[in-house]
Amino acid sequence: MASLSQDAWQDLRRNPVFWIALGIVVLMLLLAAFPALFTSVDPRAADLARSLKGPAGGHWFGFDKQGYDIYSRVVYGARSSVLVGVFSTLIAGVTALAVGLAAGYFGGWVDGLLARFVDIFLGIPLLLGAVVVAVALSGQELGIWPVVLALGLLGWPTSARVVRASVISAKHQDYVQAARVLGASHMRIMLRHILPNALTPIVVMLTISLGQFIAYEATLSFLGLGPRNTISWGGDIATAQGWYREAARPLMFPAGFLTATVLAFIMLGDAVRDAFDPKLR
Amino acid sequence: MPMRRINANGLLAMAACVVLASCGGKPQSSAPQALVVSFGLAEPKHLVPSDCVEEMGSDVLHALFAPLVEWNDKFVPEEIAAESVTSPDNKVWTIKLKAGWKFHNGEPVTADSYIDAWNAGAWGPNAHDGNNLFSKFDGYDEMNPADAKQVPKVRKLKGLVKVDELTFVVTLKDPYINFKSMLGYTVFLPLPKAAFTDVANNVVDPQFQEAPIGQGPFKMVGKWQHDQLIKVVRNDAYMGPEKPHIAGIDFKIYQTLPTQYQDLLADQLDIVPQIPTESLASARADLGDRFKQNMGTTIQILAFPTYDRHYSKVAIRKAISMAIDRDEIVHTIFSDAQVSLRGFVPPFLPGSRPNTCGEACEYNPAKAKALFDSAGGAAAVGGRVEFAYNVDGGHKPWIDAACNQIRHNLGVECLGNPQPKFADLLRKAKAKESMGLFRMGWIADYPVLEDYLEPLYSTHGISNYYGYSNPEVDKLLAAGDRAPTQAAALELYQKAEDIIARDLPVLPLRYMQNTFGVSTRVANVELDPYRRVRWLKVTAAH
Amino acid sequence: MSAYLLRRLLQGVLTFFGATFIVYAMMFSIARDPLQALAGERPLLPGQRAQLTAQYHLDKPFIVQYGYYMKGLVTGHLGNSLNGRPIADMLAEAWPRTIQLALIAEVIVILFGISGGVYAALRRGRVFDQTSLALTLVVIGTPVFVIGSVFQSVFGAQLGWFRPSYSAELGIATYILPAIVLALLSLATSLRLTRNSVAENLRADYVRTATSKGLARDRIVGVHVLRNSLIPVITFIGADLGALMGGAIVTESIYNIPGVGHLLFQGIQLEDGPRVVTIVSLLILIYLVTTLLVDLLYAVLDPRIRHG
Repeated sequence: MASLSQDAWQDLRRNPVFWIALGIVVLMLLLAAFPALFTSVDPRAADLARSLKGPAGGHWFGFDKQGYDIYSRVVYGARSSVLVGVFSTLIAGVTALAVGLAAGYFGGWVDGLLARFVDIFLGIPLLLGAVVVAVALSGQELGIWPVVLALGLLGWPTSARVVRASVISAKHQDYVQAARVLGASHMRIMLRHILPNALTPIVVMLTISLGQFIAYEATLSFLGLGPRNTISWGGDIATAQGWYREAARPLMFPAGFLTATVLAFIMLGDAVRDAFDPKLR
Repeated sequence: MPMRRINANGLLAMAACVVLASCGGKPQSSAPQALVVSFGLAEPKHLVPSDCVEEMGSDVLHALFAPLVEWNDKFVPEEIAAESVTSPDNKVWTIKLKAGWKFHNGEPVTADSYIDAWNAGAWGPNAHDGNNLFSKFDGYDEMNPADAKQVPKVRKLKGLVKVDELTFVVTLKDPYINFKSMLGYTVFLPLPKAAFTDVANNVVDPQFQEAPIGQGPFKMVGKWQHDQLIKVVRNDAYMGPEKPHIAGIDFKIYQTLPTQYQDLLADQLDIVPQIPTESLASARADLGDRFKQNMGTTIQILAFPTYDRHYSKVAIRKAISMAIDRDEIVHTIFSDAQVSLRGFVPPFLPGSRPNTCGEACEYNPAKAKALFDSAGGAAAVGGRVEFAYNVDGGHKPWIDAACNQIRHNLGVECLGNPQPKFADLLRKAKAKESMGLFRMGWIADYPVLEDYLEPLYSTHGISNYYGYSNPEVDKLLAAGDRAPTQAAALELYQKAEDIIARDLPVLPLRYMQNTFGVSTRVANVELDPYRRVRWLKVTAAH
Repeated sequence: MSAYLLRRLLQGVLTFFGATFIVYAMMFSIARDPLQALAGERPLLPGQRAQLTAQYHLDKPFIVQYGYYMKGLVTGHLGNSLNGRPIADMLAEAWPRTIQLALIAEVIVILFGISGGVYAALRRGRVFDQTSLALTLVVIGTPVFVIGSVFQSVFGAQLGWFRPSYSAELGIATYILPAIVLALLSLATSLRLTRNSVAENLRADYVRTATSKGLARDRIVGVHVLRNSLIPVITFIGADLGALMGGAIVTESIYNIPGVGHLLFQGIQLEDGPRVVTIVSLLILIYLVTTLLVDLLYAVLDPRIRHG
């Protein structure tokens, strides 16, 4: 196994896509962690007199309708979006893997029970669940976390089904049968032999989910249910889209950063998966 | 009095109105035209007159029905379906109807058409939305016992008596100078016998509103297609003084305002009664002279809950008011489609005076800061100011702008406090939960000064959600209602407004203009100050 | 096989009740004052409140309200929405619209997602692969309401290719633009899933074997690779039909389609528990049926999977 990760690292090092994606992800994480390093402008300082004005004297991206500095908003908005993307995906991914693996591997009544569980959650549209959670917690100042939890706890069932399908497909493979005959434990078979096979679809699903979760946060803001008093790309996109015929800049910058972040995570996921995929060797 | 309130659910959240200006051109000959005009509407709640106090329903009902009186450009009620509305003492009112009027189903309009409709509206167990507009009638209390679970024994208003087929008499509990004006409101329209399943027990057929039968210039085609369409055509038997020029109206029902506007741009919709705030800046260029603007009677205010001790000092309230630059918000956020309000009533109503709010509504950041600091500063308001608002009404932009000004000018944290619906604001106010200031919109049922004061500032005012109470104000308003002449009444109402201005229980912010757009197919489109189209004036474009 | 079906149906009933219970509990927990929500900014008179509270059992505890609701549901009496209209009538009008919208979207997803994904996988790293990758990323990274309103404004109001809003007289054509918007997100996902799955299968041993045996590449891709690659894709698409219908909330609002998404969102806003739960129950039913079909399809695609 050690040699596999060494090989993978050799592989990754030579992949320019990996470095670009990693660069963007690191940049976004830095923005999220230390926004003050990147701007000294208060993102909440507004002046209607400069509403929708273009770039001027240190205000690189110009101003939005309220007269906020767009650059500063984008820098400070990174935190919410990164938190939503990363943590919702983590919660959803771990849940999906656990449920999908157990259901697909054990089959029988475990599968039946978990499938009911998945069905129940899958039948409830994600947006509906998020809206209900947002409404239930509205008025309380919990920042972005209710959104993270709502998306994470409701956003896993599709991925879980995809995992289950790959696991069912993988467990009939000869080498898995062989491992079982050789007396390997369930845990070992699942983690060593089946999980790697399920990784391809789950990584694709999750990197996409990550983007969707970030976008859902914006949709909640559009429906008026975004996090309260929190600067986020989604919130600014929702605000700016109404005025976009008057000025596109306040929409384009947060939307551009959001897309770049999604892109970077997906490309990173692709690159790492390709590097670790034993079939490529 | 309950009022025609701004729709809480987003759509027409910012009402608008009209009159004046723009809609140029003289109506052409009254030869009927083939044009069917489409109009952007949100789904109405009810289409039974006494159950309708919202704008969407009244848009439709005022095409299907003709009111007893209608307010002219000077806000004076003029008879339409009534021959006369008279009273020697403002307490006992005699209403005579014009002869020969018929409902769309051929049934003659008689005194009973009104008496039956109003009894049904006043009957507590019907729970009609317009119920308490009948509260000034003699006998209302007996039909609406304090214990709402009891079925009242009295089923008819004592103060509503038929004299002959075309005459009836209304007796009020107390003299009310504005009664004739009040009759112009949607709630006081008549109903045909066909609307009832049991007249004696005030039971209205629940199916009636699916295809209401009126006596107005237009009649229904088919049924109300929920969430889609209400279709009406010209009623050639209409007896009113003016007849419609157009063949009919399609009330197209929309979920959101921006979609209406997109349909207008694509020339698929003829009249959009309200341009969305976000499109105001580009609408002038998009529509050219098809963009219309005139005066409306909706006001927007921020209220201070009296149960919140942080805002109990007048100086604090005044400082917050003076730190808000109304003109800048109106100009930048609303592209001048609204106007700063520095009084408690729209400044063009009879008896209104400019700037009754005085210094408190003038933008003066330096003085505001000094006042704020001397009254205790940030600590006095609990460290921060909050503006509560409902997120479904498009209020965020101006709330944010006002908050930014407070933060900048007073040096205190200011946060918007978004709640899903207006109902959530009301619930918090009733439970006396802390939420900061909260926004309210108001459009009067009938255009008199009193209807902007009594509901909002009298101790038991139906929309006095913030708990303001000043016995002096109550006394003056009641005395105004009982005054023998309009002039005397206005003087008393004005005195009440002066006291309210001194107490400053709410901050007046803006009143709205009607900003609407029309397609290339229609001409002579006018909205009245209550944001209703004057359908009898509309013609086809050349 | 029939035993399998019977078992699945029984499981479906369990799922159905579990989900309605959860959704009913969710709606109950957010309902603060549904009657005032319905009244909007207008005050609610005490008499009205008492009447309506009794009529909708709002003064009863949660479990009793749920009991009333389920009794109605099971006996086919869906009751009235809080606005007084029969829920059955509202749904009968709204469902066909949303189903048409979702089905057109689904067709778009299947047509373009699978064919695009296969093509991208066969031409891995080429122009089509790269541009479709970039485009799907832009789509995934852009909130649906932005795409929806931009398309409406550009293709509807400015270019005039489509009506900006729903018009019943246009028939099925009125759904095309909103269906494209609705399909875009799932399209991006299914395209990427197909591409990766096919690309992976192309590297599998059996392809090398088949190639070395001299089988035509078209046949290898068309029969073997595709069949093996489609399992995760079909899982996703099957599970997605229900999500498409729920996701219609935003699309239907922008394009003014009086469908189920609209009823659903309005129901949440109005805290109208019975209406929301009924709609979600039906969404769950649809979902149960599609998953059953998908599971049966597995057996067709992968003969190693047997339902006994």
